Amino acid sequence: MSVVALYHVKGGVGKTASAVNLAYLAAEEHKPTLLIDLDSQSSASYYLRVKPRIKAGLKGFLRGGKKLEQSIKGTDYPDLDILPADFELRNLDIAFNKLKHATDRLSMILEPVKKEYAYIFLDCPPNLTMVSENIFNSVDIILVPVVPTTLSLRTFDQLLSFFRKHNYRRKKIVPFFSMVERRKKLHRETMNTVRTTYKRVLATEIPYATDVERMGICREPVAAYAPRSRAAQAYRKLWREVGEIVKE
Amino acid sequence: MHQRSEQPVASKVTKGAHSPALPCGQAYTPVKRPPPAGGSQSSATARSQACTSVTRQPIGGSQSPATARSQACTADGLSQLFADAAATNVRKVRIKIFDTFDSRLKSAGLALLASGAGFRLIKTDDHSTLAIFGNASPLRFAADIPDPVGRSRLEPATQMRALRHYATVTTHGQNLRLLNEDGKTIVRVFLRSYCSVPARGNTADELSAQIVCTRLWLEPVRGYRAAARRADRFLCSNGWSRATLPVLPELLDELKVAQPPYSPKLQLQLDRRATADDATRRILLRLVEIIRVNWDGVIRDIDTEFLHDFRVAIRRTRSALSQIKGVLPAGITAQYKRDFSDFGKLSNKLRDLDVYLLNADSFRDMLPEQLACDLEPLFAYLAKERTRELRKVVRALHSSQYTDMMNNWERLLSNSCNTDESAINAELPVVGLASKRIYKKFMYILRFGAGITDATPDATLHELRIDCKKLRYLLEFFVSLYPVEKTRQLISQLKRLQDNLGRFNDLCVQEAELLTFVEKLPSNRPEQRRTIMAIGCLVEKLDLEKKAVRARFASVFSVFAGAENRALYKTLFATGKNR
Ligand SMILES: Nc1ncnc2c1ncn2[C@@H]1O[C@H](COP(=O)(O)OP(=O)(O)O)[C@@H](O)[C@H]1O
Ligand SMILES: [Mg+2]
Repeated sequence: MSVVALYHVKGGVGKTASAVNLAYLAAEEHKPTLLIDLDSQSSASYYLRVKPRIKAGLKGFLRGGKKLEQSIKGTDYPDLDILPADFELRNLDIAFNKLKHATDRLSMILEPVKKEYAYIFLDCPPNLTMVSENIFNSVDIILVPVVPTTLSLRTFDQLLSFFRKHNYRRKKIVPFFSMVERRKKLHRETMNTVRTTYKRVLATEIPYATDVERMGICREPVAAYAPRSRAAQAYRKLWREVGEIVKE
Repeated sequence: MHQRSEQPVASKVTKGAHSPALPCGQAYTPVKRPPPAGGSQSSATARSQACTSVTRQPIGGSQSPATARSQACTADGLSQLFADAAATNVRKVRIKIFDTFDSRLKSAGLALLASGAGFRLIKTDDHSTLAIFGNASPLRFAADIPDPVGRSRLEPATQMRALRHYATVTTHGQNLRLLNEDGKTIVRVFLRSYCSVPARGNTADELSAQIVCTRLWLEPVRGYRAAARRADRFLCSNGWSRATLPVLPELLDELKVAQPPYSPKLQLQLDRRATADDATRRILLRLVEIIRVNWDGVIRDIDTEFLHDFRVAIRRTRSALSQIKGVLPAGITAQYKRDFSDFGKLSNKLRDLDVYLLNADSFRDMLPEQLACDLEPLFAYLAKERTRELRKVVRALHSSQYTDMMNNWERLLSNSCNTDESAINAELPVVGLASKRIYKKFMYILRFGAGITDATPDATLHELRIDCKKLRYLLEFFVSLYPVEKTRQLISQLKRLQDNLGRFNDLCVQEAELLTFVEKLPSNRPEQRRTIMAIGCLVEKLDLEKKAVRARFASVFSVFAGAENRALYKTLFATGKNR
C-alpha cells in the first residue's frame, strides 16, 4: 500500500488535476484507491461530483477512525473512493498546531484507513505550513508538479531547502513538469536546466491542454471523458512512471 | 459524457470469482404472477407480464408477448424504471450448457458452460469457478479433457457418461447508474436476462427466444446507503422481489422444464386400487418410453450407458411379462417375451465388450507394472470387435422389424380393450397381485439360497442371481404401492446380495472369456507371448477375487435371510393365506 501526495508550495500548478487523474488510473487497474481532498477549496471533490462535507466537519476529521470512514464516498468509478474536503479544513493548520505530536496527526488519522486501499492519493493545499509537514511525514512520495517557469522553480527550490533544513527525507520528493507549453522557448530551456541539475525529475511532461481545463465542465477525470487525448495519455504515462517508483 | 465510466464496471465484473459476468450486490427477480383464472397462459407469458408491468408497459395490451419479453431486457426497459439513470447495454453473450444425458453435473451441483473458445466449470450454489479450460477437440468424455483441474473435477461426476451440449442461452443485459442532482452515481443496477435459444439454430431466434430467467442486482455505492434503500423499496413495490435462489440453479431448473430430465428409473406413482391390467400397462408403457429415449444414443454411440439402460428396460419388460401372470392375454405375452428376448440377445456381445473396455484401467492396475502395457493388443482387439458389434446392433435397431415391433407393442399397451379370457387377473386390484408375486419370489430365494454350500456348482449361484434380479424388478415395478422407507430398506438389502452375486458372475464370465480371447488374438508377432502372459496373470488375479467373493456369499446371504428382513417382507407382502 502506498500513499502519494500531490503537493507544491504554489497554487494553480496542476496538483488537483493530477491527483484526480492518477487516482482514476490506479482504480482502473482494479486497485482499491482512495483520493483524499485536503484542500478546503474542494476542487477534487467537485470534479468527482461529491459534496464537500465531512461528518462533524473539522472535529470529525481530527478524531479520525470510524466516524471519518463514514464520510468516504464511492465515486462514479468502481474501486475509486473519495474522502471529500470540508470548508472547515481551512483551519486544519491552526487545529494541528494546538495538538500534541502536531506534525504526526495526519499519519495517525490515515493509519486505520490504509488497510482498505492499495493506493491513497492526497490532493494538498498550497503553502508550507503545519499541514504540509504532516503530509511530508505521512506519505511515501511527494509528487510535485513544476511549471517550467522561473517563479515556479524558485518555490520548488524553497521546498528543497526546507527539507534540507528540517531533515526531511529529500528522496521522497519527485517533481514532474506540469502545464508544459513546448512551443515556448523558455519552457524548453528551463526544463533542460532543471534536468541537468536535478536527476529525480520524472521523464513524463504533462502538456498544457484545454482538455484538462474542461474537467471543470465535465466533472470527470480527463482520462475518463477523453481517454485518447494527449493529456490523458500523458497522465497514463505519468501513472506508469509513478507506479514504478511506488512498487520499489 | 459518461461512456467511459462504464468500462471499469464491465471489466471488473468479468474477472474474478463472479463469472461469466455475474454482477454483485443484492439480487432481485421478477415476481411470478399466477396466470389469470380460466386462462391457459404459459408461465413464460406470466413472467413476461411481470417484467412489462415493471417497465410500465400496459398489461395485456396490443403488445405481443414476444415484444413484451424483449422489452424487459432492452434499454428502454430499465431506463423507464428509474428516472435519473445512465444506462449502457452489455454485450450479448451466447453460452452453451453441457451435461450428461442423465444430468449428472446438475445433480452434483455443477454447471459446465462454454462461451467463445473456453469452458468454465461452475459450482452452481455460489457461482464460484472451479476450472477454466479450452478444448481443441469437441468435448465428449471428461477423461479426455487435457486440463488436469477440469478433468479431475468432471471425471468423478460424469464417469462413463458423455458430456453433451443440451441447451444454449444468450444473456442480455444492461448496467445502470442511478444519479443524484449532481449527476453522480449513487446506486449501480445490473439487469441480466437469460434467454433460451431453440436447439436448431435459426436466424429468427431473437424472436422465438424466451426469457427463462431474469435477475436484477442493486449494488450500493459507499456513502449512499439511503439511496440503495430507496431503490430497494422501489423495486419491491414494482414487481420485483429479493431473489432467494442463486441465478444459475434457477436458470438450469427453468431449462429443464422445457426439456424434462432423463432418469432410467420407472418413477411411476401407481394407485393401490388400480386394476392389475391398468398398472401393468403403465409399467410397460414407461419401459417403452425408456427404450425409445435411449435408442438415439445407442445408434449414435454417444456413450455406453445408453445401450445399458436400453437393455435394462428390455430385460425389465421381459421380466414383467413373465412375472405378472394372467394380466395380458397369454398369446401376446408369449410372443413379446420371445421378441424382446431376441432383441436383448442381439446386443449381449456389444455390452460385454463395453464392460471390458470400461474396465480397461482396472485391468491394467491389476497387473505388475512391467506387464500392464502388454494388455494393449487385447484392448485393441476388443475395440475392433466392438466396432463390428456396434454396426450389427445399429443395423438391427434401424430395421423395420424392430420399428414395427415397438410400434405394435406400444399400440397394444395403449389400447386397453386388448384382453381375453386368459387374462384372469386383469381386473384384480394390483396391490394384491404385486404382494403375492413379491412374497412368493422372496420365499423362493430364501429356500434356494439356504441350500447353497461351498460345494454348490457356480451355475447354481448364477440361477440365484437371476431370481434375485427378478425380485428386484418386481420391487421396483410396484415400489410406489408401499411405504417408501420400508421399500428403500428392502431394496438396499437386496442390492447387497445382488452385488455379491453379480460380481461373482462377472468374474466367472470374464475369466472364461479372456481365455477364449487368447485364441482369437492375431498371433504372428513376438510380443504376442507377453500379451498372453499378461492375460494369464489377469485371469489369475480375477480368479483370486472370484474365490474371495464366493467365500463372502454365505455371510451376505445370511443377513438377507435374517429375521429382520423376513419380518419386513411378511408385514408388507404376506396375504392372509401366507401369514
Ligand atoms: N495540464 C494542464 N493544461 C491546462 N490547464 C491545466 C492543466 N492542469 C491544470 N490546469 C488548469 O489550471 C487550473 C489549476 O489547476 P489545478 O489542478 O487546480 O492546480 P492546483 O491544484 O495546483 O491549484 C485549473 O483551472 C485547471 O483546469
Ligand atoms: Mg488544488
